[in-house]
Amino acid sequence: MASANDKVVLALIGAGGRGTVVILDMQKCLPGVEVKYVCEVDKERGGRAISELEKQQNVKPIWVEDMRRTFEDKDVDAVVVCTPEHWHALATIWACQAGKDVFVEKNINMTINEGRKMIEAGKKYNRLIQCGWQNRSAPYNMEARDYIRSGKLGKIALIKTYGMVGGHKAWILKEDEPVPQGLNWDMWLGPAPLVPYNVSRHKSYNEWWVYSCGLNLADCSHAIDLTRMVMGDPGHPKSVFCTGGRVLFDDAREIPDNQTITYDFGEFPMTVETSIYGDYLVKASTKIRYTRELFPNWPFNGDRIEIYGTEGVMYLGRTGGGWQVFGTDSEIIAQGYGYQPDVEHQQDFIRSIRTRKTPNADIETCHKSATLVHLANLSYRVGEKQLFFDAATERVTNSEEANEISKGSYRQGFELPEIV
Amino acid sequence: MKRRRFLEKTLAGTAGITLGASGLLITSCKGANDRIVLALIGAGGRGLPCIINCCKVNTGVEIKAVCDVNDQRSARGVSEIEKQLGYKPQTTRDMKEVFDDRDIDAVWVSTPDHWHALATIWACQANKDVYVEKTPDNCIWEGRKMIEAAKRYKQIVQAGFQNRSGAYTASAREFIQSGQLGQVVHIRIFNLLGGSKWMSKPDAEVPQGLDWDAWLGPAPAVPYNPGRQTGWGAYWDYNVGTLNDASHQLDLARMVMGDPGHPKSMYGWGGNHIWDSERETPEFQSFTFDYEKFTMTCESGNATNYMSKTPTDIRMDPNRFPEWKTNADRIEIYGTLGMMYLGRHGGGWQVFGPKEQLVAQGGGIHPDKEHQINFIECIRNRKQPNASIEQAHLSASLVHLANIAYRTGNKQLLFDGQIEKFIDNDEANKLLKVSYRDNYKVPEKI
Repeated sequence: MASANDKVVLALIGAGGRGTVVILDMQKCLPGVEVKYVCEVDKERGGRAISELEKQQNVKPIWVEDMRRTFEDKDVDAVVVCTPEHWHALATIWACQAGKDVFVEKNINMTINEGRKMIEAGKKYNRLIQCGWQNRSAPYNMEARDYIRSGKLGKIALIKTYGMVGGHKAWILKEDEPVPQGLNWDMWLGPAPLVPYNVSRHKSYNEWWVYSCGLNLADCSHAIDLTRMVMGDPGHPKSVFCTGGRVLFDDAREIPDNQTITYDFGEFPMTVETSIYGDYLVKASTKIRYTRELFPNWPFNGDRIEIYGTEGVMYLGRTGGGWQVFGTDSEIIAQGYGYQPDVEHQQDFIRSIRTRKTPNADIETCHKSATLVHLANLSYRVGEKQLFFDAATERVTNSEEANEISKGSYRQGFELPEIV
Repeated sequence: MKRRRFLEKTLAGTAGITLGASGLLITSCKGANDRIVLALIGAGGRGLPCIINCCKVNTGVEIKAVCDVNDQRSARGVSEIEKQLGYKPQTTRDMKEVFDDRDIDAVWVSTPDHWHALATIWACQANKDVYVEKTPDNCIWEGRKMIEAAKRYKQIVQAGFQNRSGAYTASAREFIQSGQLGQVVHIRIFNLLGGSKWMSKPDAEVPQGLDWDAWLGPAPAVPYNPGRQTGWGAYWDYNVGTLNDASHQLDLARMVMGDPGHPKSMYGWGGNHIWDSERETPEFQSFTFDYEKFTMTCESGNATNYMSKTPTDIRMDPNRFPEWKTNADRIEIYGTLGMMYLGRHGGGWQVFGPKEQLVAQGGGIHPDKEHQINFIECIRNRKQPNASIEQAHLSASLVHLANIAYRTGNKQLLFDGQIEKFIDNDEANKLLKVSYRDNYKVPEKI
């Protein structure tokens, strides 16, 4: 077993904005971390990651186009998967098969089945898979979970999770074009169907079901996962109902700009309300995120969680917003300041690699959070229909259409293996 | 001018009830200043103060009779009316006597909910106008019959959704209709009340002075049970559960949104998991209406004792607003440009925009008085009241839809608003109409 100070060698797969930030922070989150590869299908990308990493670690990472090269290198202990979402499951499974641990960004996969296969791969190859839902490593969220677990909030009657943030923009579906120089479009598409290059796909992949879980739930998946965490990670819901649509820019996009979701957890309902219209609801400010002295003004906080117990209501912020419990006359009964926990999450991953402890955002736990995202989208996509879910088989029991969508489709050479 | 007659014969025929001479001059007409004669049907904690207040805030309005199946209540009603208005009304246990009395212009129906529709329809058939408390009906089917009765007999039927008479609710509606909130996408309604474990009680002897059979009326015949009488909110036979109170917000939300028709689809969840009560109606509910252009959610229950309704002093003060965060019965309306917090019963409204800016607000006063004035005005001028039974029926239908979704297993329901039936769902369709006891049937043909 590796010791606490053993060198950990990483490879970044997908050097976009988020991937670059994650890898730069992860390299320096603990001593002894080295990034050997930066993998990108686009030659225009990855330059900043490489130059900054070289400064940070005094070793210049190697740029590669094909992620499989990083899997082949025995030096690499773990990969950090920050591609668009349609690549997440396959990259994770390939990495496990090659004996690598994995940090995979949210949304961690595209279908419920992919999640199951990721779990199987992690188990079979004895690999750790940390999901990019960093709230699981925040001390304030653990406090909130402990508070609920202690019974101080009473019996839980209702959970309301919000992902209502503005910034929605008009969108025009551009014409197909020749593939830009330096981009391996075929590899960008990977498991997704082969289509001519289109910048509206490439740069707005969050607006397409084939590449993402949608702009709404990509972001809101953080709050959904955090909700599950503080509730002690309940199992799958019995049913889901999702309604929604497009409001502000009713253009060609498949993805709705607002979704209202209810999950039936048996003893309590959990609602998720997401939208990307309006600029009056905002995420916690930088000051709130990075200091331990402020709480959001909750009614204006767009990604909060409200947990109504019989003894009080907990307001919980996901972007370092902290938590507060209010009682009669809005009296503050208890509270805990928060802090954006990216670094803690990265440290947890590196420590897990070294000690083989289960990471905070383990795939088995997070698979159930991702399932909530998928169930909501399925409910919406089959015509805003309530779907009943059999937890044992992880199948929808009242819509073959939903199960069909849920299969996903994989291009030759990029199939999701039946047996990992 | 319509000369009125006091039907001594009918009234004298009532066993065990003494109808004292009213002492009122029984001549009235329906001109703008003419006297309006009311009767109270159901002299409980809500009905009695309302009808008394109605007499105080209007001129020329009198209460001729108090009808209650519980003699204690009618006696209390009489003494309260005497104390506050200076005269003694007559009493009866039988509302039919009220309908037979041609002096009476209008009735105030504040019985438990299972009586609302039948009392309203009988009143219309007897050419009485009606003020009927919320929830105005106990099922969707009978709501439609109430509309038919009001139309056929040309009677005014005002539902007790008093928020429809608020100046501040009208200004909230105008604000939304002006487009200043942008396109409304999402409406969130709360009715988060307190509560505790509710346990059923054993059957008992009918208390003296209570006509239990008449109390049951259209509901199935069951032995007297004190839990049913005083805790009728727990039983489907008598009401809609905690949504009885939420119906105010559901109605107010519909009003400010310009009174949309039935939603095409809805989902409802409910359960008795909080206190494990022995009640039929759920302790907690969460439901969503798909109005196509916008979505409306509502959470209602008896789980949160720390939440509070807008306090009385704020309800009566147009310059103060509730602390929204723990306000139990607020409405939040999300538009593309801003969000509105709207309180019922005088809570007022506030609109917030980017950068936490207060964009606009309208202070509120509890609109019971205005609603009572509107009712009397409509009796006199025969205009449609603010809370017409048509709109009240559409609002009440939301309550019924939510309950039916719960009662059929926490399911989504698809509703054909044109014919007011569920699509391909026999189980749900069976709950569109309650069953009525003989002699208490809401008629198919009004």
